[in-house]
Amino acid sequence: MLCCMAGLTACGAAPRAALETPTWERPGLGGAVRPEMGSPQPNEVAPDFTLPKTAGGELRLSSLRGSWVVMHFTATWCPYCDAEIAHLGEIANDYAPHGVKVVVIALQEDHDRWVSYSKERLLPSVTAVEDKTGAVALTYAPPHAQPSFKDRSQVAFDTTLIVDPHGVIRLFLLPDTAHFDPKFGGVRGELDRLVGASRSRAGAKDAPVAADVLDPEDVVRVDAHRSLSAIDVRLEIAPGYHIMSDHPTDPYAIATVVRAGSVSARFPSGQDYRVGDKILSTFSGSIIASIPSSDLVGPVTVRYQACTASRCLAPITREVPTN
Amino acid sequence: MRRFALIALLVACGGAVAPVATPADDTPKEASIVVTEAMGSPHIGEAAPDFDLSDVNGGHVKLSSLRGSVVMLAFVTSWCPFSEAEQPNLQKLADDYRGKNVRVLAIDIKEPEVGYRKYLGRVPMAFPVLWDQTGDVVASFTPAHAQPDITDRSTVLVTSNLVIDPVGKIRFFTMGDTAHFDAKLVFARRTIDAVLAEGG
Repeated sequence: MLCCMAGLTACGAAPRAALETPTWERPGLGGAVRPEMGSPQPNEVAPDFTLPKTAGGELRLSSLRGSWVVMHFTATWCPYCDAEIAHLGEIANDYAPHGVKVVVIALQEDHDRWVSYSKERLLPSVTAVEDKTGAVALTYAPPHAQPSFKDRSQVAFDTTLIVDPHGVIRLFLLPDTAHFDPKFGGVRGELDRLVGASRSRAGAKDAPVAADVLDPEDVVRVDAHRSLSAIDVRLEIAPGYHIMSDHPTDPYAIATVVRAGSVSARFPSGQDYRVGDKILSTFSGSIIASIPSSDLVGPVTVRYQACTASRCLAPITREVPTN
Repeated sequence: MRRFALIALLVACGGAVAPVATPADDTPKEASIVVTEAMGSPHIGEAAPDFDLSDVNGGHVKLSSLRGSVVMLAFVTSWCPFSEAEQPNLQKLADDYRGKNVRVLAIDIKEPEVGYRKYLGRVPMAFPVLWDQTGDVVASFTPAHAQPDITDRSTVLVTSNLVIDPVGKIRFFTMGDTAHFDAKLVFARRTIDAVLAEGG
């Protein structure tokens, strides 16, 4: 279900959202970016980036699709950031069971200074990356926020974002020293609402319970059989999981695709999956997709993203041999 | 409410609607965080602690020697982007009030010399930029209960602004406010005008 939550943010659901109290008038969220500040905004895809991790290697934001992500821009010189940084680790620890990842971005920091600072102040549950030039921060600076700042990358410092499993921004907070809360009460409240709410809906009724986080490949068992006129591809989806249908009715959802060469499969109708007041088209249980040709050679390609009620796994594309 | 909802909807959907606020006018509707009695001393209405600080040229300023003038006092650092954004507007304020019995002072908080000189080097400033090397002066101005979560107390007043009247009393005292940032010092100017009017 959570994978479909982004659907609520699409324009179809905006009238209801707009009648609610604006984000910045809610407790702890006074720093929320306003529409008039310009992009990026909630309901937009978070600008992607690849940055070096302090621990080595690189992090690409879009590689975290399937998880909720809390992002925070920090700097060692910023006293407010300093008061907050330990509490980011607490969020990472507390929300790890809910599939939430925490990424802290050190903004225009000297590498050695940041390494010694983060060793002392940052819990290992947080992924630290470094934006040495501020180029990534610049993509997170709404053009009309802090109009007096000449170095626009500095607009992003001490900002906090929640990004959903589809990579869509759901919360974007600029710092608000007038209501300073180093423990991120407002962010936690939003995480509870966004992540926790979908969990409690999942627990309702007698929905099957998903096995603890499976590998995306293990969630769907696929086999393909050639007949005289078609290749029939059976997808068996693990209990408690669903995948989007081939027509998911949601701009953010990843449609299931089954094809051989350039020929796509025909699917049965999707099942309605209710998220709030939005209905999404999904598959669960066992379905058969039929590729209307028997003379194709080579493997069948299957692409899907599997979700439980509370989290989505990374999208996957698999090749399945036919027999 | 309904009208707002419609605008929000159109904005959310990328519709061609003009922004709801004029970005050019970035003066906040309310003043930055006002230092009140609840935060401790000093606060508005109390006497400003006296100090005697030097600037880079070896000149020094003793606050109490400026009695009889209105003093605009800004606490700054080189590393704070809000201090940086405010810097040219401090000079503009000094220009606009030249000949009106207003003295402008900036105090660089507890920075090593390289930081202090970085601040000095950004914008030509025709008023004293004093250097509080030890942090003793900023400590005497920092109310004990202001921003209690900030552990390095010498940073609580970064980008704070005060207006001190001709008898040495604090008439305006705000702290750095990221959400209501008054880069152009509009609210401080209102107090300066009011204090000048009293004298006139």
